[in-house]
Amino acid sequence: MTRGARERAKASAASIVFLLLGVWICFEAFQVPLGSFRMPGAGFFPLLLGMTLSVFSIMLLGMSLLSPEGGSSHVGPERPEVLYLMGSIVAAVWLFERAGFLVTMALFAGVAMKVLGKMSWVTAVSLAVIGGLAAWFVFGRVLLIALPSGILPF
Amino acid sequence: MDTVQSLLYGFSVSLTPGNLLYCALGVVLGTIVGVLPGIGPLGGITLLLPTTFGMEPVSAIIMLAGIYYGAMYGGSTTSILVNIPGEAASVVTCFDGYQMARQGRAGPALSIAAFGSFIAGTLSVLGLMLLAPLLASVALKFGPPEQFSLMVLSLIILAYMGTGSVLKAMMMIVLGLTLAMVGIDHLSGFARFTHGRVDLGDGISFLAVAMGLFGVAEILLNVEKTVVADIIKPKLSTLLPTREDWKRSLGPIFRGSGVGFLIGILPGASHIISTFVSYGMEKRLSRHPEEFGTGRIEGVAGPESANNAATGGAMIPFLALGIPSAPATATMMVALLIHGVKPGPLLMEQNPQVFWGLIASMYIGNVMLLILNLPLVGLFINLLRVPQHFLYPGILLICFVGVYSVNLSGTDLWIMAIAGVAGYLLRKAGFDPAPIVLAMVLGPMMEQALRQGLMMSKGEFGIFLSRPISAAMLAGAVLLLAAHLVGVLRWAWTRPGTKRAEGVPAEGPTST
Repeated sequence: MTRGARERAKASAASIVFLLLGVWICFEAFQVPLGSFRMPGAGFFPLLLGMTLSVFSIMLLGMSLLSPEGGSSHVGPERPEVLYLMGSIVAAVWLFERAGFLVTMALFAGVAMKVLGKMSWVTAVSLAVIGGLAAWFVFGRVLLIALPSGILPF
Repeated sequence: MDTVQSLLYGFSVSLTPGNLLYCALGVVLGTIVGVLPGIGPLGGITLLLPTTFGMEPVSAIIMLAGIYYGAMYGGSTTSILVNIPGEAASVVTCFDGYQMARQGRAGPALSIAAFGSFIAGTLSVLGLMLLAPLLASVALKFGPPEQFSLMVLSLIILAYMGTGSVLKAMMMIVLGLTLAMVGIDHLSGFARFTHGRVDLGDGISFLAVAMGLFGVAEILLNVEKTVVADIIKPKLSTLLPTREDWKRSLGPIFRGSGVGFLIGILPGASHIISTFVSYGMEKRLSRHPEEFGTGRIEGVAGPESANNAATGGAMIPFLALGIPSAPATATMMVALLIHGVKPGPLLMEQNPQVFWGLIASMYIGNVMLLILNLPLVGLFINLLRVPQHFLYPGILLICFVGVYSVNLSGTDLWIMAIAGVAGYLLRKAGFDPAPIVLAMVLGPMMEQALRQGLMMSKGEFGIFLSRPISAAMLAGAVLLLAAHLVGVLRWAWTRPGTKRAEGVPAEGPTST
């Protein structure tokens, strides 16, 4: 498969994802009353949007198939650090209310610094704990933002 | 109150110690945002939006506006000294600014950028002050059909004036409008797209989506880039421009101000486009166009003035019509709405302290930037030395706190994470997600205007065409779409690889 063909395939895949999304929006719009032109209901505007997105997706699909070079570049992450960072963000969201702000942010900052900075675990964890405590003090104590305490008593 | 009296009242609002402090904070933070590559004004405003929730509405908008125009100043510093544009509107400044720095003329380049920005910023505030009340008085006559048509036209222009593919921009607009539909429909009470989740009843958090798209996604993209900053240190002794520099720069500054202001009113990436238009214009008017790109001061003065003037222009539709024309002003509008202040034709009557306080603060902010930027250029440029492994976790931490603090909701954090990954993938696939943010703000207003218009006319779509202002705006939108469609069809007919393409230059459309 040539580079051009691979990129065409990626552009086509993006169009198909949007087409499916458009169809799903139409389906969701039918779950609430559409109303009439005289009295448009809750599903009226979403149905218009779903149909528009579907039409645009078909147009994009057609153009990506016609294009000699395709319209997109490399879609996936080019460096593993991106995947690690994505994973640590998702893990931090999951932990945020369970383990609390201080524990989650210290863990997250430690992993992120280790991944991005190629430093030793001891340095990363030490800096993360200090950074986490500083952030907790500034946001939780000075700015009085209600942050989840989680497994810690504060 | 006439304009002068109103402006004096605005100064009395913005010159209070608290508002002066917020103005200074805004312009300094904006400069930092502009200096740091990868975090544009939109990202900066979004990141700092939650910090304004405890403020008075006028203080909040003064600070956010300060970030907006401060970022334009800051962006030029890295373009000139490092050849890395701090934000997209400073790309053009790299062409001649960096060349000037390499020739030992970083000082004049930086100071003409700062003076040009100051003059343009001040002129655009004057324009805003004179035009916004006029436009607001016209907008008071708008009914739902006119409002709907105006929003359609704005969104089409946004797609047309964007930086990439028109079709992809329109898909992003539809996506943003759809995201705005999530939650309980206020006219009928039916829940849409919620699947029984109570926490989605109030809709998807704008802040969570914006932080995901412009905080998280930006960082994921920046992690892939290795930026090596080769910083040229300016000599303070040669900081000020010579008389010859001034002579060559004044014309570009005034022309850039006019171009930037006018383009700024239009929806889309106007502050970016205005810089390219200004640069092109100066090159065309120059007696030595071949020297552009080798360190001509006109190539710095024009575009830098244009991008600052565009910020004033962009405020007009947002303040006078209540319809933001750019993602950054859409975020500012959300800030005002959170405080219970509705921008639009009635803003000047109902909240004169917000309107005139903001305008006066922009004069003050421009003076502050001029005073701050030149002496502190060395300090700001050192921000580029902060390693990314400290900077990025810090920004992500602010994203977490900012999103969570609004509703104390874990769901919002999930929305931010999903928007972050989606924003990253969209950028990689060639989609600019900025229109999503603007469409999310316009979505509920657009739906309401459409439904009210149809109810007024008892289901006749003709109401949108029978009223002259509405018809003119829809005609404009159709013309733009038709022009684009003709371009696409012509490209499809003559694309390379077909027999019809023989003898035709082998180029695809610049935008699909």
